Amino acid sequence: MTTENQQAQTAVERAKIPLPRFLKKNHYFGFLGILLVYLLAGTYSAYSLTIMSTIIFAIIGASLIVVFGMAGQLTLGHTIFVAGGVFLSANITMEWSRGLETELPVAFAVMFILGLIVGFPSLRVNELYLALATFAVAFVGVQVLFEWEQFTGGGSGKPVGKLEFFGREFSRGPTLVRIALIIMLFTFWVVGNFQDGRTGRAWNALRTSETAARASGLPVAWLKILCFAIGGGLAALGGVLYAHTLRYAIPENYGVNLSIIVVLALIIGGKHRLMGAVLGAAYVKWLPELSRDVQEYEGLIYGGTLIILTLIAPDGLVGMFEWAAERIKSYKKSQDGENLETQIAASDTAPLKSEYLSSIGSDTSRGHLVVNNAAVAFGGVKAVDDVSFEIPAGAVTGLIGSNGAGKTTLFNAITGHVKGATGEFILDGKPVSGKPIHMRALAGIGRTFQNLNLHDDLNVLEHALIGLDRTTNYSRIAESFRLPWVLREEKKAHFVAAELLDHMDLLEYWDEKVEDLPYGLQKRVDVVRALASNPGILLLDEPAAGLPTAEALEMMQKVQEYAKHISAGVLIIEHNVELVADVSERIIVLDAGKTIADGTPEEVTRNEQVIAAYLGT
Amino acid sequence: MVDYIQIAWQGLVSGFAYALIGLALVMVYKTARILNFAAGTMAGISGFLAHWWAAENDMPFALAIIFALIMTAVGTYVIERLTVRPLIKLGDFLPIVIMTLGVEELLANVSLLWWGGSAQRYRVPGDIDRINWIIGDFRLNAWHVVVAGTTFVTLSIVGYVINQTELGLGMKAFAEDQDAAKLMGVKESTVSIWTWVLSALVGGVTGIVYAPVLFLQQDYMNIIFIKGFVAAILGGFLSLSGGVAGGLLLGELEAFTIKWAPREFAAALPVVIVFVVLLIRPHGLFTREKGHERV
Repeated sequence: MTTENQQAQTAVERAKIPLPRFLKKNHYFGFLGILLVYLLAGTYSAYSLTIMSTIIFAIIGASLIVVFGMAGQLTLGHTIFVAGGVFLSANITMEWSRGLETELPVAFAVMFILGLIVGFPSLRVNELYLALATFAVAFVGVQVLFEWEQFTGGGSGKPVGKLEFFGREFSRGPTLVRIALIIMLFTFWVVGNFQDGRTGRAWNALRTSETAARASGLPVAWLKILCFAIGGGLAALGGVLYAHTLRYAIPENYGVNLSIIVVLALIIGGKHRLMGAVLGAAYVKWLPELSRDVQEYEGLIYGGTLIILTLIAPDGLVGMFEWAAERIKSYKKSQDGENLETQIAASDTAPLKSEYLSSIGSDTSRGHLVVNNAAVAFGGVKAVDDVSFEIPAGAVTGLIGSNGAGKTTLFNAITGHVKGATGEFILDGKPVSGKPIHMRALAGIGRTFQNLNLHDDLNVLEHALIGLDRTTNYSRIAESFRLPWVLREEKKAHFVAAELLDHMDLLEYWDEKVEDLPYGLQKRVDVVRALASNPGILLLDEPAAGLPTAEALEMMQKVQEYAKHISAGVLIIEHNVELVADVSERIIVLDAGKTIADGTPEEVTRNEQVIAAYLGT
Repeated sequence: MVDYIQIAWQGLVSGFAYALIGLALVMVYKTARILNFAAGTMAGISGFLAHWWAAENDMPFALAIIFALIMTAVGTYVIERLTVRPLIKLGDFLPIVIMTLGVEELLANVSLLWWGGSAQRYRVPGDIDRINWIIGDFRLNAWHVVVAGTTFVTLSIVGYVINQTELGLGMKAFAEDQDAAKLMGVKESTVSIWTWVLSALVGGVTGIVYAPVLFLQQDYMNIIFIKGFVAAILGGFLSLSGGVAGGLLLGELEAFTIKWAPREFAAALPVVIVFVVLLIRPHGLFTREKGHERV
């Protein structure tokens, strides 16, 4: 490569994109804080119960970050996992006389499985329904605990046995705090690793736009169920600690109230950050310590805080601090007269020639798409009516037609985004019809959306990384423990993403949130996400709509260059006939759901039927 | 045989409560796509208010109920304006759900502080909730007859409002298509707030007529709230009559399950129903599947 050339740097270096590292600044702060409490354990016996419950709430909060903060599934039934941990702990210590070495894994495993079941309704219903369905689970869960006397001891509950670890017995006081801190460290480590890895990214993607997440090839259904399973398993660890803190397991402690309080605590603290779990836990556990009055009005204060925070700071206390820090930073910068916009040096090698993109390049043409008798009907209206065509590999094909001609519906039929589509779709010899959306995406169909389906809240680089998800090669178990190859793969993905952004002239905006970008750039981000997934055929739905022709042409040129680089085919819907005629080798014209013309741009623009139906007078 | 009739009647009596709350939930969900988590507690507060005015302030029974319902309407109006309205323009529904959770936490604690944690009996004139008529082997509680009557009256009034008034028309328009309704000049904030108030009144009536049946306790309406939600799911959540039918069905199912199934299972019945319905017919038992969503 060009190592001898000093100027030739990778896009990552030029844009100063921080690469994933084993330990980040947050880790050091976290370790330090936990170490401090660890060493001080035993010097504050008056408050040890409050400290224990703060730690337990922080653990439960962290497990909720997985379900609610990342995957965006509002669950009000989280306490059944805590209760599960508590009663499993009571039963294991009393009936089997085993210690933590059995309690923790069993609680995690059993509640992981329960999570798979509880997560199931999330596939069928929207988030509002889900909140109530899980609320019902919490409500009924505690009643089942009351009735299931064999397991829970009924209303009077069950005692919890000794605190043991491989037969060594521990006193409960400071040692229990230390054990709790170690478990908290473990939980935070795992959740933090998910936040930095592909699973966390995928959860964020599905939270912000499920449709787009599916189109990027993410297994949305599995991801949703998984978040409940992992969240449930981790919450159960908190439950085990709860059991040993209270020494007695009573069903009525784990009702709807606890469910609501843990959610409130996390929202008050900030649902997207681990620090939010700690702050939220501290808020609800230490406030009542202030005075008797506070204790009496506890619930009022929490409810009131939540109402006010929802109105003024939806990201909770952490969000408020971050906002303030951001303000101070930008104020200082403006005081120093520093130039806020740092220019990114241009590279002297084209991004496509760079080490990372050149290895993706391919010479075998892909994107041979056969569409046979595609049809979609909405009620009595046939939006797409028996359309058939074949696109050779590596070709650029235009799809035009007046509004309502069925172009986007045809796209949706091919990608699987519309229900009830009939017909056969074959990509590179493999039939894709009948498969779910993400399987079609993985088979090589990449798409953009007519009315921008981006992941608000995520930055430009993350969009590219979401597209790259399928090429990132590590398991979710490796991810949860931050094993070395996870970082290696993540770094590689960052390099590829940065070069791709450079190619599409988006590099300088890499850390901007997409909702802050102008429309034209948002369109590019949509295209980048599709390109990053290395599709066999790229379906572009009006990529140039709303852009000036020059800008649109420039973008199309870049897209075509890249498509040629990876030897992918392109199928493009566009109203700007000039543009389509310019970029495509062939044009298909739809009208009222039927193909009315198919040929080279010259043939089509001269076709009388097309002129009558579409081009107009 | 009489046994069965007795169980069926019991099921119907609880079914009325589920039907009414189900109706209240569906109403707001259908027009505004919002679930109100505070609905159960709000209904409970109506019951407490009626009790408070009648028993502790010696107000005539009927007047106390009217006062309680007026207070419910005013309170709901204020809550909607202060907490829900500011979030609607954000367009994201999750914050609103969280907001109603906050309201629920707040109100639940207000009622706890006001009335304390102990259960109280809600007195009705002539103690008619203690009168049981025995017809053959069939026991008929007088108050249960009142409950049935109130349910029918409430359902008729709601039916009238929805089918015969301008508000009802606006609600239907919003249920059909929010954007189109706005374009046609239906005022969103007006329709939304009166839907909330109507829904809270239905809840309030339920809270009051069921207070003698359930005893006044700080969270006595929560269980009805959950089951009303299950009723709404059974009915597909987008159909008012479906919600009512779902409530009655749930009441019957529950009554017969308690009779024959183990207690653990009877307790889990609502969740089992939710899961089964979502698995087999997510659009509810009584409605047809809706058309396609556009991307």
